[in-house]
Amino acid sequence: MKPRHSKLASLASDDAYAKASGRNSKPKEARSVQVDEDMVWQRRTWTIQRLGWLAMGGLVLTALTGVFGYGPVSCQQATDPAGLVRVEYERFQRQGSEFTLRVDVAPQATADNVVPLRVSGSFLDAVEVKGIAPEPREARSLGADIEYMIPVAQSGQAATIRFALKLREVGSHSAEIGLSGREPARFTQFVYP
Amino acid sequence: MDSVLRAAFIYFFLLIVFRIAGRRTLSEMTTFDFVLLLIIGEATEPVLLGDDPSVVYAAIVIITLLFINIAMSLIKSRWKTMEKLMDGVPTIIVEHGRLMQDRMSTARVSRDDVMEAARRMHGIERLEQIKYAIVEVSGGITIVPQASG
Repeated sequence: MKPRHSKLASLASDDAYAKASGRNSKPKEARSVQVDEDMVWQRRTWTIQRLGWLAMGGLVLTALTGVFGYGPVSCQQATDPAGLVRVEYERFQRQGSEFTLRVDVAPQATADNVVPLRVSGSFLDAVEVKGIAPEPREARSLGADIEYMIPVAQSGQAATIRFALKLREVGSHSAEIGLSGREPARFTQFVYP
Repeated sequence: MDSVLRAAFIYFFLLIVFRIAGRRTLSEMTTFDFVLLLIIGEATEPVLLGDDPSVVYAAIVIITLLFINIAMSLIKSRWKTMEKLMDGVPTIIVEHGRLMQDRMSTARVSRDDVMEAARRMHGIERLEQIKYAIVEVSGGITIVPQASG
């Protein structure tokens, strides 16, 4: 009986109390409306939301730079020590996405109408080769690696070989691509899930 | 295993993102908001299903999502903090005809929004006739009119 009574009292004095308490000095008890308000929590939520918006904006800008794949930061080149092979690759990639790996071979290396290109086995584990243009004349196993014999029409001219690849494995993987018998070009790719 | 993890990830990811986006963003939906929601649905679809269009996979994903939702509602009913965390708390923005400006601006509610809700629900013409206006958890504005009318 007693608590109900006090509740009624607070109901009746609601207006007066709110006026007396002035602006915002906890008129919570006096409110007749039963709202489960929690302003401390609410303000904290608002703060977190503002931070979240900043984070979202930051994420959008970061994505534009290409840190999550396909962008200025992501597009990179690697060259072998002798400067005969230059590989254009994407530093950051996403699982399941397809991309073209471009290999430029210097004129000095295209003698005999054929380029013996060696691709490391660890790289071939991580990606699936969908196609090579031009088609290699022959593909040979070299331990874990594979050596592709790429035909060239004009020896002594620069050649470009394109690998159509699909990324299978998530995580960081390193690759070595180069002419057989020489130091290869090395690069690392990171694949997002 | 993969399907369950994917569904759970998407569930919690969307929960967090929509919580950060705030309750006023999609609650009072305009046509464009609706279109945006459809696009968001389109974007999540391939992540949920991957390249496996089998019936079993889809069934597992759907059941996982529903199960998480049920589990969450049970957790919410048991722990108040969890409910606050996921749904937020209602906020009073008008008290006895007085606008609480700082709260309104942070909650992204304008005077016009309050008056619109007041007109729609109670045919209220002036601000003084509002006793309380509350931004509810669902994102809508509730109006309590002054007793005298």
